[in-house]
Amino acid sequence: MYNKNVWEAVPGDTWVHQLDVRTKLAALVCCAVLVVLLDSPRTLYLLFCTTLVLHGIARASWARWRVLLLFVMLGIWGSMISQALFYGQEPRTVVACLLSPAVPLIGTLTGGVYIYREGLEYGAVQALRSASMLSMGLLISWTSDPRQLLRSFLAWKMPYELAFMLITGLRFLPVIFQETAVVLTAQRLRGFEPLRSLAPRRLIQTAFQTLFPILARTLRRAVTLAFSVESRGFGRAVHRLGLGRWPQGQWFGCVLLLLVLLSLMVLKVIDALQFNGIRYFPELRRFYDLMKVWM
Amino acid sequence: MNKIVELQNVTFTYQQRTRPSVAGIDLAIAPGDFVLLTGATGCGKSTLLKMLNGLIPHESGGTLTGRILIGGQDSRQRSIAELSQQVGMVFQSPDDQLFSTTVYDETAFILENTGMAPAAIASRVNETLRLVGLPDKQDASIHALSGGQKQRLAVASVLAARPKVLALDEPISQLDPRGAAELLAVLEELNRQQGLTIILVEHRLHEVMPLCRRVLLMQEGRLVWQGTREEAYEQAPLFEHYGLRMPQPVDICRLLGVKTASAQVEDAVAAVAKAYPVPWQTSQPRLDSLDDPALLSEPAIEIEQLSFRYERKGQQVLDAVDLVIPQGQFVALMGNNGAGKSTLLQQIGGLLKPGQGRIRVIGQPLTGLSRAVGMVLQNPDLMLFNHTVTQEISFALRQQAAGFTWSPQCQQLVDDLGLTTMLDDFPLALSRGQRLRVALAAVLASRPPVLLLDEPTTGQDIGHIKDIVHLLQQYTRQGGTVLFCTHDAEVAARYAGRIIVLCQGRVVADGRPEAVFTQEQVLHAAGLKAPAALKMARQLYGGTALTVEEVVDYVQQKCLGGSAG
Repeated sequence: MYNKNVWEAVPGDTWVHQLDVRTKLAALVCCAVLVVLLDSPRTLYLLFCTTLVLHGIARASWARWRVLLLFVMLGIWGSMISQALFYGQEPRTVVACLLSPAVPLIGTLTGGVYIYREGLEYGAVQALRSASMLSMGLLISWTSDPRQLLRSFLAWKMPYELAFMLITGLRFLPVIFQETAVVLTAQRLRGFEPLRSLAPRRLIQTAFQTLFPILARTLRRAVTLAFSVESRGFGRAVHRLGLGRWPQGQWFGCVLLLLVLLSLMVLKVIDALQFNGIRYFPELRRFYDLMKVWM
Repeated sequence: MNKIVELQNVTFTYQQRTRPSVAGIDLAIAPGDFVLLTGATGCGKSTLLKMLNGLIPHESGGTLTGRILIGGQDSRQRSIAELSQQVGMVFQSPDDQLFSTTVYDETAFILENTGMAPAAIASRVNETLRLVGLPDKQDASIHALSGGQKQRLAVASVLAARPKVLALDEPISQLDPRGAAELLAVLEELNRQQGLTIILVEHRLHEVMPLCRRVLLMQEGRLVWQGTREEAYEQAPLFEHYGLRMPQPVDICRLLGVKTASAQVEDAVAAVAKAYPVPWQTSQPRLDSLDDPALLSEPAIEIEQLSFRYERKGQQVLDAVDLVIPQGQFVALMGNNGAGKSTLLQQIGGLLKPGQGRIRVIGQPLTGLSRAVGMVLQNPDLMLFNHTVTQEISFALRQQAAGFTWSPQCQQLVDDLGLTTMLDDFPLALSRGQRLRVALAAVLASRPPVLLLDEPTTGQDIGHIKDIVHLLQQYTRQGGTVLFCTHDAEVAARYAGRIIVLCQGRVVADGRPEAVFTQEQVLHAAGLKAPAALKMARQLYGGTALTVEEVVDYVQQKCLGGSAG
C-alpha cells in the first residue's frame, strides 16, 4: 500500500495501455453516466466486472489488485451498512434487530435499531456504482501518461489551472500515501499513539499533526513540478496540445459508445414515462419487462 | 566579452518580504563557460538561478529591478516558453520534476511544446539520450531508473531543446556518490564537447569545483566574490568563512603554503613533494580491525544473522548481517543507494520485522518500537508536526509524562544547536538546516541510549554538519551510541570511530575508517571513494591520515621538525 510504484502510472504494452488517453477518458465519462442511469444490480455488477476485466487485460500487479480490492470492499461495507441501518423508504423488511425498542432508554430513544433488506440491496447498488467508478478511475491513472492526460483535459477545454491541479494531485497521490506512512512512523517513534484515544478533539489534533508535514512537502513538490513544466515551455500562456491524431478505430468506438449511451437514455425516459403512468406503449410490453430486469 | 547571460544591477524581493533575496547583482557569463554559483544555504543562489529562465519575475510575483539579458534580450520581454529554448533548468530533486511515465516521453515533452514534428522529435530524443548516457533506456519507466539516471533524464528533458545555457540547482545533493559522479561526468562532457554554458548552484565544492572554470560566491543575496577556479583555490579561507568545503588537496596545499592550480590528488601530491622532502612513513599504523567490541563496553546493538526482503519472492535486501556495536560508539554506515542501509536502520529502529535472525538493543530482544532507540529520518520535514519548536522538542517527553513542559536539558539542546532564537517559530517554516536540527533535538530530548540517523548530512553545509556532529560526539561521550548513514566519505572519515560498509545487503567492510578506506576494491564494489586526504597521504608518504589536518601535521613534523601549527 505504501509502495509508491503501486500508485504511479507505469508504461506497458497491453491493449489498455496502448489506448489513446482520450478514448480512456471517454470511457470514463460513459461509465459515469451509466452508473447514474442504471438501477439494476445485475447490470451494475456486469459493469463493475467489465472494469475488473480491463484491469486484468492491463495486467495489474498483485499489489494493485490488493489496493483495488481494499477500496472496493471498504466502499461496499460502508455503503451497505449505512443503508441497511438507516434506510428510510417504504416498504422495508426487517431482517435483524440489533437493538430492541424495549431496551430501556436507548431502545426507547432510538425506536430500535434494525437491519432492513431493502436497505442492504440499495446499499449494494450504491456500492456497485462507486466501485465501478473507482475501478475505472484507478485503471486510467495506472495506465495513462499524466502528460497525455493533461493534454487531453486541455484539448477538451478544461481550464489550465484546474487540469494542472488534477494532474498534480494524481502525480503526488502515491507520494502522499507513502509519506503519510512515514509521518505516522515518525510519530510512533516519538512515543505518540495516534489512536490511543478516540475522543474527537484528539482525533482532530492527530489529523492536523499528520497533515501538516505532508501538506508542506506536497506544496513544495507541486511548486517544483510547476516550475519544471513551465521551464519546458508548457504553461498557462502557452500549451501546445501535441496530442496527435485520435486513432480512427478508437474514435469510432467512442462515437458508438456515445450512441449506445444516448439510446439507453431514451429507453430510460420511455420506461420512466410508463413507470410513472404518463405514457404507456402496449407494443413495448416485452421491452418494459427487459428494462425492469436490466436497467 | 561576448555574453550569453548578463545581469545589470539586479535586485529582487519576494512578495511579503521586506529584505531583498538578491541585491545589486552585476554579472556577465560568456558562452561555453562552466560557472559554479555557491554560498551557504539561503544566500539567494537558487533565486538568482530562477531569474535566468524567467521564472522570476514571470511566475514568482515580487519586485525585480535591474536588467536580465539572456542572449542579449531582456528576460522581461520574453515568455518563459521562449526563454526555455535558451536556458534549460534542472532542479534539486529528480523525483519532483519528472512528469511522464517513460524516458522517451519525458525527453520529448519540451519538443512537443515547441510544435516540432513527431519524426524530428524521435531523432532529437535519440540524440539527446545518447548525450546523457541513456540511449538504451528510451522505453524504460522513469520509476525503473536510479537517482543518478533520473537526474540525467532531467538534464535530457531540457537539453532536447538545445538550449545555450544549462542551469542546475543543487543537482547532486540527493544522489549517492555513483549517481553524482555519473551526472557530473555528463555535465563535463556537455560543456567540453557541445560548448554548452553551464551554471551550477552547489555548496558541495569539493565535488564540483574541479569541473568548473569560474566561481561566484554569494552571501545574503549579494555577490561577494567572483573569479576563476584557480583564484578561488587561493581564497580558500574566504570560502571556509562562509561554511563551504574546499577540495581537500587544495586545503592541504594551502595550509602547507604550496601553490596549486588543481584539486587533483596527483597534482597536489606533486606540488607538495616538490616543496617538501616528505619521508616515507616507516611505522605503519594498525589497519587490521577494531578492538574486540566485547572488551570495549557493553553492547548497545547486537545483530545475529539478520536477513530481510520486502516481498516474499523479492530481492534479498539484508543478507545474514552480523554486527555488534558497543555503547558509546559513533558508527557510520556507508554504501550506495539500495545497499540496505536504511533497511538496516529501520530494523534496529523496530519499524521492520527481521525475516530471519535476531536483534538485541541494550541487552533486550527487539520486538517492535523501543524507547531505547531514537531515530532521525532522512527527510526531517516528515518528523515535524507541532506548531512551535518548543512543542516539537518537548513532544516525546510530553507523551511520556503528562504535564511536562520544558527542562534545562531541552534548553541545553536548543542552545547547542543554535535554535534559541526560534523557539516560538513554526518548525516547517524554518530553513532546511534548521529543520534538521529541530528534528534532531526533538529525538535527543528523550535521551534514547541508541540514536539512528538516516543521511543527516544530505543538503547541509559544513557549518551545520559540524554543529550536528559536535552534539552527537557529546552524546556518545555520555554513553549514547550513534549509528548514522552517510554518503559523505570526508565526514565519515573525520568523525566516525568505526565504518560499516554495506553492499547488496551484506557487510563487506567493518573497521576503523583508515582500515576501511584503504580497501580500494571493496570501496569500488560498494560505489564509494576514499577521502582525498587519505589518497594524498598514501601517495605522499604511504600514510593513512584521514583528514587535512593529519596530513599537514605529518608533513610539517617530518619536514619542519615539529613546528606544526
